[in-house]
Amino acid sequence: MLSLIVFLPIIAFFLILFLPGAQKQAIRIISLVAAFAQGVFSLIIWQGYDSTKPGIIAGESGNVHETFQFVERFDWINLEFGRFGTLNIEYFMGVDGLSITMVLLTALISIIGVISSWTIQKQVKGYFLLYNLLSTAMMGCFVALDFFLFYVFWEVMLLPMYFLIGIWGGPNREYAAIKFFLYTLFGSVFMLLVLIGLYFSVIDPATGNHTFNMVAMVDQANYIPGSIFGPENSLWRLVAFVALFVGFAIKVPMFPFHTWLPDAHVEAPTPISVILAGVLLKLGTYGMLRINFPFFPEVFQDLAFVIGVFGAINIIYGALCALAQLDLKKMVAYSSISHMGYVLLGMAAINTEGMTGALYQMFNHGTITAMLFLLVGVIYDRSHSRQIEKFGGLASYMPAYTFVLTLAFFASLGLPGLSGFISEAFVFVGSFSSEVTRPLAIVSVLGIVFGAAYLLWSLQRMFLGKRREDALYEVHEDEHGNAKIHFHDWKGSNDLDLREYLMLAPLAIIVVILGVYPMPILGLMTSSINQLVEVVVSYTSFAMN
Amino acid sequence: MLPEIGLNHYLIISAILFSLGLFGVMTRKNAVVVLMGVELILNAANINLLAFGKYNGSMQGIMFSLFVIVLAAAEAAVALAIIINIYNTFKTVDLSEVDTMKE
Amino acid sequence: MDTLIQFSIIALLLPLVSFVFLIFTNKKLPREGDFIAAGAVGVSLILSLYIFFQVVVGEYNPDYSLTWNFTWIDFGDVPGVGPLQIKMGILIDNLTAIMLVVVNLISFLVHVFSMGYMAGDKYYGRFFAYLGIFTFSMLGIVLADNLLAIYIFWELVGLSSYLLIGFFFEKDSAANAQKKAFMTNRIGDIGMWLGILILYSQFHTFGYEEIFQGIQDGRFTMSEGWLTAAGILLFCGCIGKSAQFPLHVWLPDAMEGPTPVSALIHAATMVAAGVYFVARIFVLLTVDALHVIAIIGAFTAFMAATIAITQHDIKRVLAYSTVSQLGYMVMGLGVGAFAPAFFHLVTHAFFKACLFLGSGAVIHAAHHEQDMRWMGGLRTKMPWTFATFTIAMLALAGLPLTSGFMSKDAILAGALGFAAVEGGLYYLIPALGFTAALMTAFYMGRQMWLVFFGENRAHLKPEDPHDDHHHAHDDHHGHEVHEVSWEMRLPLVILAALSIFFVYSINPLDGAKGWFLHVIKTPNTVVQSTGDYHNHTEDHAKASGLFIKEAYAESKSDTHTESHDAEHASVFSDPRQAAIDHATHDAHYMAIAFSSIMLLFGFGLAYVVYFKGIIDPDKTAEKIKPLYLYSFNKWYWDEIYDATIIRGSFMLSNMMAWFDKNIVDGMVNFVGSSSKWFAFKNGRFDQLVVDGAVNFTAFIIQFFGLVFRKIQTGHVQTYVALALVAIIGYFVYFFIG
Repeated sequence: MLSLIVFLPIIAFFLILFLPGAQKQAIRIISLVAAFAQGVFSLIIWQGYDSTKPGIIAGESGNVHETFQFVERFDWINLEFGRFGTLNIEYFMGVDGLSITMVLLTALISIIGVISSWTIQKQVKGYFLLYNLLSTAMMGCFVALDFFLFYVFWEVMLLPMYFLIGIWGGPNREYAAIKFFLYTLFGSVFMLLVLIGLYFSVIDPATGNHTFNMVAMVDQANYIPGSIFGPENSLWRLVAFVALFVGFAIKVPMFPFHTWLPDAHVEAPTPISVILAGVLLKLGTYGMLRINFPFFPEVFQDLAFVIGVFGAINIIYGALCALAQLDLKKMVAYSSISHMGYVLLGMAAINTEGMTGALYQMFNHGTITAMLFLLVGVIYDRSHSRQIEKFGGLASYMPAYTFVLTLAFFASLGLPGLSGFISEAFVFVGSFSSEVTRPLAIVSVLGIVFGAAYLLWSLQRMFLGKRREDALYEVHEDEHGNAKIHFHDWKGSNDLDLREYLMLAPLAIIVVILGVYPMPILGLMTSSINQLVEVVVSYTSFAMN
Repeated sequence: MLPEIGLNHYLIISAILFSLGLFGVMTRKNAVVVLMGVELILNAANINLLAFGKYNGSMQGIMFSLFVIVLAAAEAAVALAIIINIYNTFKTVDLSEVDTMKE
Repeated sequence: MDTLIQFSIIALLLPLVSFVFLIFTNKKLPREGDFIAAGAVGVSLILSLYIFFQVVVGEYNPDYSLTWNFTWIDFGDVPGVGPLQIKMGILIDNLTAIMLVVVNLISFLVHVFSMGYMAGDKYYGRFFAYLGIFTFSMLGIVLADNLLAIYIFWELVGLSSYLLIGFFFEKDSAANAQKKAFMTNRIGDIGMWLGILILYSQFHTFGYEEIFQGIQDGRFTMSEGWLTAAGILLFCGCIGKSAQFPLHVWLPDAMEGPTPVSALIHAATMVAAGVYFVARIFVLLTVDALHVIAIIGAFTAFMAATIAITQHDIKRVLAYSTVSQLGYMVMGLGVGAFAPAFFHLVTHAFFKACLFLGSGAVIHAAHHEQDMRWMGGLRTKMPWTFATFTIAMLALAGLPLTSGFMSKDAILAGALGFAAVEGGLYYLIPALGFTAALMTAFYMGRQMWLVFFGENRAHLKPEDPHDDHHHAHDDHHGHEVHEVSWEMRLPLVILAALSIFFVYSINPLDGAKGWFLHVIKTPNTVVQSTGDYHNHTEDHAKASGLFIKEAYAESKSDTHTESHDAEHASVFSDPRQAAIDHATHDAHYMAIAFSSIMLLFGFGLAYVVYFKGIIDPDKTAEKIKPLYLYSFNKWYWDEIYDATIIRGSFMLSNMMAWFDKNIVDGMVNFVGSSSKWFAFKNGRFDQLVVDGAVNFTAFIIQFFGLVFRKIQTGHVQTYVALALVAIIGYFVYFFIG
């Protein structure tokens, strides 16, 4: 089942490959069908998921992978290296509470992304080929339980993203693409080194061989004493933790590794921004939850405060930077940085409330920011500009657009009743409850105020008041005396059209529903989070023994 | 008096014929003549086969030479076709002009 | 589930349904669906009245409470905590029952009023939708049984207020005001949120009851200071929402909203939510926290009153008066006059709503003229409005026989009692309160005479070419001012009726005899260490400590207090509160006397200045110009905040953006370009040495190739010759070698 979900876009990939490039509509429809099928299968998995099963289990080796669900496990690469033993790489997939939410999110965002890509006219075939490849890689990352497999998906993701930004992007796209690529590659080099080190440090208790099995890596009893990441080798464990963390932090993106994000967002086409913000950023924090923290729990405990500090910096720094932006898309990009800070802060709390808040925030940020980027795309399509100062008074002429955008803005600033609030609230609850991160929580609440400031201020500048003198649209009166708006060389509907409704409405509905009753998503994750917290807090390091 | 014709005579004839054929193959410029040289070489070989067959007392030599004759016919047909194509391509059958194999 | 709970849920959800329905359909409905909104609130009001009669009249018990909750979020078995559920629920007690009626009644009346006032507006239907979400949020605050729920509805009230203030969003001033209101409230809210976090981190629950119980059982493991901090931080929410100093600046600007909204939100209900919230958490406030609350309340009451004196806009005067009155309520809570403070909340809600709706009627009738200098003489033209406005005005000023008198007087008595117990500088608190009372009487008298008496001064107004609104209504100028329609008159009459004493108590001089102060009693504090606390501070030689101790001893021997204690048969007896209650009782008549003097003096002054014209206000203002300007410019708070916080934030934000663009990203680009430089250098080395070696090998091979290619002529015959040579060579080797 998981393989099907992961590789459905690859099927679409091959179908598109054999279609002539001129068959644009067919290419789009194939992609859409693949994305939809992915969505349907994700829903089936969601239905069949037993939320009482925890995934990883603290301090227990052996059949731990049976607590994962929808597990698919085969030998993939088995190479004899004589003296060096065998290289064991498994094709090992499964979901637990951490990944199922992300699977759902990825499926959702993929569908929205395809709908949003409908208007792409340049090299449609190439675009959708890359898009489907990207979709597979993202999904694969979230369900892989073998570190090597995870790494493969992680790297596969890079390339399509590079080309999607570099070919279909804005004027400065090449700079942005190469920046994105180098940055992420830089991170994954570290990951590769740690990956190899971990392989030689961990033994699968079932076979006695070295393994890339991430479930086995969680159990500290499987680490060979004396190996590089062995239990007593605290220095190297620290190095490994930091290296992995930096690799993931670049993706998050965490201050000071965040500068690729605004550039990439501003240059990327709308659907790619949506994917980037909606899913890719989550991979960073997901990686931390899945790999970084449970593998090196004692280092995590020691560094929790530092991670929290970076989270707090992200929150406030991102919000302040957003306040200063004049480009709406850049502002949304910085707001992403700010919101991902909440995830970091919540995780640093090392308690259930904080971690649940963080994971839930990942989901919510995915939906809300996707909405924001789509909305930015809507106005950009019409006016070819994203300058906040170039509008004014749009609320009178585009009521539906204003309504959806206001909803998204308020969701983003954490208004109760919309999903962003619950996650932010529990991030604060968790980080305040933990004595380590308490001061950070106190500082970070300022982020709520700044968050409201930049969102409301841009809302006012673009939508409220009257039309500005230098606005990028004209207003004229029709025969009934009603004011009508007119964008230069825009032929379509002035307010939202059907396609835009189709992509915005599902997100808006999800944001509202999950804001009122979060359990459909939150309920999936709690037992896994509890176990993860247990894994981290129950482990006492070698030095402490 | 002339000695009785023996195996050696056959072989000498065959060797002369072969040498003539080889000479033709190596020195003539006209492809058709080269082809005729090849025919001579083949027939030299035929003589050898028949002679050895006669003095060995078996039928194998005769059978083999029959095959060679058939092959020679086929070879001639193919070779002529090739020559025609060479002519069509290079507008000549002069082999010194046909040196595209060096590239 | 209890019927009351069911009814309360229906009452809560009806306005929300109306909002959701109307926001999508209002243009398609007849009358843009106003009857749906009003109907929803009307049904909600009927249900509230049922609850009110069941709870307050039926039970008539100060300790009555009814709760119901459900699991909202289930965290499962949390490590270190155990099973953890976040619950949502409903709490119905006397406070709730009374507030339900207040909110729903005023909301309903405002709906009715708006049908007249807003008629013909471009977004008429949307207005009623917004009223729906406001009513829903406000009812949520009232019914919530836990801190998270109240925070949720708190923010939703902020949203509705944002939407309604900015209802005329095409006006820049309205857009500014709505943003200012939301932002200011947010600042207060983060304080409140931190307070909630402190409490949650100790008890892992948001429920009031669990938290109170936890504190009472001594399970609050952080230091005493944190509990005080929690109290003050929670109070920050009230500072924001109830427009207390220093976050009061948004409320006057919020008058940009339509006048019915001002009445509903910015006078009667939303701003009272802060006071309601402090009343809810009253029991966990430590003495220090209460002192802070009292000081802020008293200062706000005083400051806002001084500003109200000089404002020209009819709604701004009322706005500052609201701030001032909210200051009274907050001060009342701070000094321990819990029941009077809540009492004042209710009475104020009615008479202030009446005043605002009355001013709305005036503005409507005067063709959107809001400046009192250009009004006057409306008494005869608008008799209904005049009569109701007068009653409400007298209630606000605190004339005996009105509801305002009873509640305000009780608060002032409480402040006197508090000062008697705490002593020293705390006498400033009642002093500020009485001064504010004096000013209240003065500015209300001023408003009265300016608006309703004298000659109409509309023609005196200088033409303002920049005033779009004015121009839009130019064609109305010739029309006569006339009384408003019945749907606007009816709410005024009802609200005015509710501003008279007999609704609350038979005895017009002593509210304590009425039903209201019977069902609302000061709850016992759960802060366990109150007594110890004062022993403790005594050690630290706090000046008032000894005095309080004496007061406690005194109060213990007093029969009145004993009966009071007996009345409250609860686990805790709070000697401090008892002492204050006792002193308050003693101060009751003194308070009546003082406030009556203040009232007469204030009214007298206003009469002399604005009716008789004996003192010319303009000349007086000229004489004390600095003071006048200080008041007229609202103590320059807006300017101060603009220069410090707002500019500071923007500067910081621009600095950060610069830092991000040039330093952080600069570093990244530096790393990029330096690696490029290194790569270039590296490239040279590569070219010369590494690549050189490779090229050399290639050169050798190429050399031999050049030699050997000579053999390859392409002539078949050469190849045959070569083959022949090879064969001959082979034979030679084979046979000879």
